[in-house]
Amino acid sequence: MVATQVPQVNSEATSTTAKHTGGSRVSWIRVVYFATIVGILGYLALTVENFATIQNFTNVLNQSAVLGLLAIGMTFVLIGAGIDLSMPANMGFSAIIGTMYMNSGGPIIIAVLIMLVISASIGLINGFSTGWLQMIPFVVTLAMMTVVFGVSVWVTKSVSVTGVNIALVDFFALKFGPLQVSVIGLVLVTMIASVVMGKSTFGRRLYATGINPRAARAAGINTRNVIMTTYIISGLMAGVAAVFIIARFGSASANMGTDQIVLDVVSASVVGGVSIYGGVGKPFAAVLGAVFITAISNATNLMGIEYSTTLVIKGVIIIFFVALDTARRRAGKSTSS
Amino acid sequence: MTNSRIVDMSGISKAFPGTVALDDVSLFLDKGEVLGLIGANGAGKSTLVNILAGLLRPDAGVIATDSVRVEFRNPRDSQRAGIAFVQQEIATFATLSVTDNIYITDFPCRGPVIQGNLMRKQAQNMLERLGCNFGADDLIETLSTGDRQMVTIARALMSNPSVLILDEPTSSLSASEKDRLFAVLNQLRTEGVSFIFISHFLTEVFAICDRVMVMRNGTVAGEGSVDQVTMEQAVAWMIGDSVEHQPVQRPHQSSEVVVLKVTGLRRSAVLNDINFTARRGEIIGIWGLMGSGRTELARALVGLDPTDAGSVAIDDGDGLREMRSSKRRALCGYVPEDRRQEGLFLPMSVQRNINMIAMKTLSRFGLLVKRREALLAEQYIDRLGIKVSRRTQLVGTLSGGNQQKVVLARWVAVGPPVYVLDEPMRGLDIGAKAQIRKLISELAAAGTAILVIDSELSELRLVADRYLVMRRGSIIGELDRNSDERTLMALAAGADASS
Repeated sequence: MVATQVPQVNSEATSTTAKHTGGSRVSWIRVVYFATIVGILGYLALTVENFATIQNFTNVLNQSAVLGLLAIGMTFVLIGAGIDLSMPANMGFSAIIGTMYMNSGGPIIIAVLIMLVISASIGLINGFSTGWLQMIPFVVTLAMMTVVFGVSVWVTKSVSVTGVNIALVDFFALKFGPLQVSVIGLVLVTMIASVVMGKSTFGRRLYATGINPRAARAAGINTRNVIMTTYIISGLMAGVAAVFIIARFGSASANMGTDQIVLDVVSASVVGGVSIYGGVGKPFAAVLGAVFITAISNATNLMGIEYSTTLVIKGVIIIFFVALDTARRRAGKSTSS
Repeated sequence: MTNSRIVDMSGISKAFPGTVALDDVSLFLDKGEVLGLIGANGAGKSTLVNILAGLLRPDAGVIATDSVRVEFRNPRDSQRAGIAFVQQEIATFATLSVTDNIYITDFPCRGPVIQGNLMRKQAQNMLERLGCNFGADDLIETLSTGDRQMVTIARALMSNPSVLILDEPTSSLSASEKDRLFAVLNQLRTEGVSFIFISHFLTEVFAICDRVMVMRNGTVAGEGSVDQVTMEQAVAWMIGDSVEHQPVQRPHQSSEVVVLKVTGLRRSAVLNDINFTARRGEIIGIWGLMGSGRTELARALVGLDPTDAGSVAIDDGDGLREMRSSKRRALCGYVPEDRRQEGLFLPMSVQRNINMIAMKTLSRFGLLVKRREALLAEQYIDRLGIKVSRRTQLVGTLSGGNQQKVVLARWVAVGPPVYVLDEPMRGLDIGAKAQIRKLISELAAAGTAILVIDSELSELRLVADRYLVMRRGSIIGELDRNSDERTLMALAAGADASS
């Protein structure tokens, strides 16, 4: 019983060291994070022919618009500690319906409205199920993905639909300098999303809900509505992405919304520093993540790497960044307690 | 006598960072004896039995079982010495069978295979011994709370213990379930099992126990056989003979205007028929022992937990009207019991935490106006005297008292007609407590009705204008501000003449 006071002294000592290591661990994780991104891009620039050219860079930017839009939508849902796996399928379905409508002679503006209403409605169903009925987001949106994809295949009989109004295609092909309208569109949407997330009362409530849902409820926030709204936004962004994608290809098909794209969207968000645990993330960073993921796809293309290998590389990247996200969360916890 | 002494703890001390939980406490238990261990919240009962169960290690002191000195490094050591602990939280697995629950800590195996038949037979025997009317194959989720309690007792008895520790075993039981539990205890006693029975309810303790031991502030306040000790004596020991604090000499501000009226509020197994009113300018102390339903009442009242029946009317300026739970969440300034888990947004700044509820008034077209945000935050940092280096400082870096002020400031900024404060002074130093008390008085003076829950009776008496005393989910009495601690404690512990 001589050692009576030891445990107490020990626990105090460890708690202070935990504080210190916690703080330095956070900055250490940041260094690893940026070093990895810079390292990968640097490696690709040095080894892949034609990768680090201005022309290829604008190419990557032009290609990343659709992924960027999806990543913005996903960011809202992830900040609320949810996930929306149905976004690409939703985009594919909206694209098909919009194209079919235009093919039958419908005006562009009505077609776009129909696409946005359809995608937002699918988001509303996801949002109601997760926000109000408290169903698990992963399962709800996985099932929704399957349903919507199935309907897309059924409607199109697995054939791609053509007939996108040529004016829409021409408009999106316009260039301002080296950048297409789609890039400018992405920049505009990113700006709006950043304002909503960073400056609106809704954005503030969403961060609060993602950080601590119990405290948010105790502070009188209607967390159910907040969560539901994030899925409506992700649905809406899928609709906007659908407009961009049919303008780029001039056609639509069920394959636009395969589950491979889900991986890219989640990768883009996580590489962009959006936490899969909720409460952390910025739309602009998610868009940068989308550009990064597009650059990886682009580089593997230029290198002539097989598609299967590309999948392996992307999968490894997502696991690595989720590991960093988890490490950051744990380090952050030990600092704040 | 010494050969029948089955447990002998002497000179036990235990300190946690910041507090001394036990200071030189001794406890003994004879074979076949039932010892009632009582005391107010935080008296040290749980720490003491946790040490005996091997869950905590004492800083000093000696434990002997059957006159042999032992040292419990972990719960297994304690179990080997014949001690079993039925913890307060009923820890059962709802989707598993009774048998699986009984054996969950130690499945009998032959090699890697669980011996299902043997297990079921033994479990069935145990259930029969306890007089249970459910089977070993039943799923836990089909059982009542009382039956689940029996399952945890069966689990504890599987190791054939000579000592059984029961921590608040009756707090969630109905009257008939309680009678059955007592019958089982009496039967086990004749079989030579000894008990340590922890309860807040003095009537129960005096009905079932041979001897009582009363703890207060980590020490033994008194003990004796139930034949010699009266309930009044036990209550006196619980409170101690410290000088009675005078209640605050605050001008009695409450007007006659009722701003909160609770009618027939009910939530099954948690709240029974709660009725009361609160007037403008009044501070009501909700007093009760642990598990009496204080926090549950607060959460149901402010609309965070569902209710089965009843209504809550609040005067939001347009007269007393019945309010839906979503409306109540906006009209009741609720400060939750657990500041860090439920009150604060730790990764956010002080400013953002303060502005969380007033946000609507700080925005134009849904967008927050920076200047208005800064102004409001500064105003309430100033008004509540929150010590910060910058208003953008992260709230997680503040001291407990300042964090609590941030949670309060959030509501003060929107001026609700009713405040519900659950343990607003828990874990704060004396200076911070005094500041929070002052703030509560000021809010009442400004014309709100305030409900305060506090486990520290002496602390509660410094703010309350009157008391609602709770026991087992009901309000069992209403006492005025001049009631002394003894009366309050006796009522909460069920030692009053009426029960």
